[in-house]
Amino acid sequence: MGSQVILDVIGSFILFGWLLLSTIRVGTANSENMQTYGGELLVQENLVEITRLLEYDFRKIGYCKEPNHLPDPTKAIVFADSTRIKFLTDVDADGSGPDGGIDSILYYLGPASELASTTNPRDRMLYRVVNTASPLGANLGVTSFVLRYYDGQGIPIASPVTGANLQKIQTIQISIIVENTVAAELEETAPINQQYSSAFWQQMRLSSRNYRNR
Amino acid sequence: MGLGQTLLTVFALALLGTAILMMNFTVFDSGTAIETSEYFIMGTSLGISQLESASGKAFDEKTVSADIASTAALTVVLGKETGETEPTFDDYDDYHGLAKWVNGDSINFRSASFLVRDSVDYVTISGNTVTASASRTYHKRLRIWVSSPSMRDTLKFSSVYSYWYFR
Repeated sequence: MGSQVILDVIGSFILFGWLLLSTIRVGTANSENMQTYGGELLVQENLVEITRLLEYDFRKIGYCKEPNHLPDPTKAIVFADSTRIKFLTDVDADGSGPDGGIDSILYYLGPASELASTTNPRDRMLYRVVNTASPLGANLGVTSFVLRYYDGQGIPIASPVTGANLQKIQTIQISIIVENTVAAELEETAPINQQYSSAFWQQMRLSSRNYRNR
Repeated sequence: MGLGQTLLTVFALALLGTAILMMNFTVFDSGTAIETSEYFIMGTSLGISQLESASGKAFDEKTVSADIASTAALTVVLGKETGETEPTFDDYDDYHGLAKWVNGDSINFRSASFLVRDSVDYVTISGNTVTASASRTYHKRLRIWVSSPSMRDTLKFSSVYSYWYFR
């Protein structure tokens, strides 16, 4: 075997090794990106589902199919603080639509310790309680659920809102942050960078027409 | 190495380079789509918030504290009244001509800034058709455009608010 052939073989090995490393590197980066994007997509889908439900319920604050059952919609909010709200409305648990009876809906955020089994230390359950039913919640990765209240002049009302101030609430600002319950583990940065995708949504002023006037 | 082998090697490298480039483009496209949809969610929340905020106001400056008996009593020139700012808007058409920047921050809108522009006009409604009206009617349409340097498209929201009162 001549020296030229040996050089060719060595060169081929080096070139092959370099190409192999490049391909592996591209594959790893691609995999990490897909993991991150998949997480982002999941977060956005969860956020949209949550906001859809919230918009539906909050829009019906103070609404009742039988107006005489709820003659004063300004008294529809029963309890309000920065992470919890309870209001009167008209929902039907079986999904057939409002039935004319007064119902109450309570939204609140559970403690982070409740979801200690997930790798995300910040995620919590967002609960929805209709009347006296058992709290229903799903782990959609909510890490922040903040409510702020404003009166008719747009002036913030201090939280928790109590007594006569409850009747002053005209608009509610809802802010939600949703994160992945499981982090994307990126090996690009040593030792391992756990990255949680997150999405933010804020309904700046959601005024319920039923709440303001009938 | 013969000429044939050299050409084959060059061809193989070019093929590999092209494959990697295509893979990168796919990844970047996916990333762009994800980011865009996130901006859309933020822009939508801003647009709907504006609609909701406006719908909590009176129909017209003349109906803030009184009722009207005919459309002739409604405001002719739409827009905010002298001295009014967005926090003190009291009727629906005060939003006409409003343009504001909602600047991003590291927590909420994550460095994306949005331009929100509003327009209000009188409309007539016939079936599902909403048409701009040169004369005053009991219906006003609020149109909102939300754009951002981070988005290619402009989001457009529209809502019709009608005058009503209980006797």
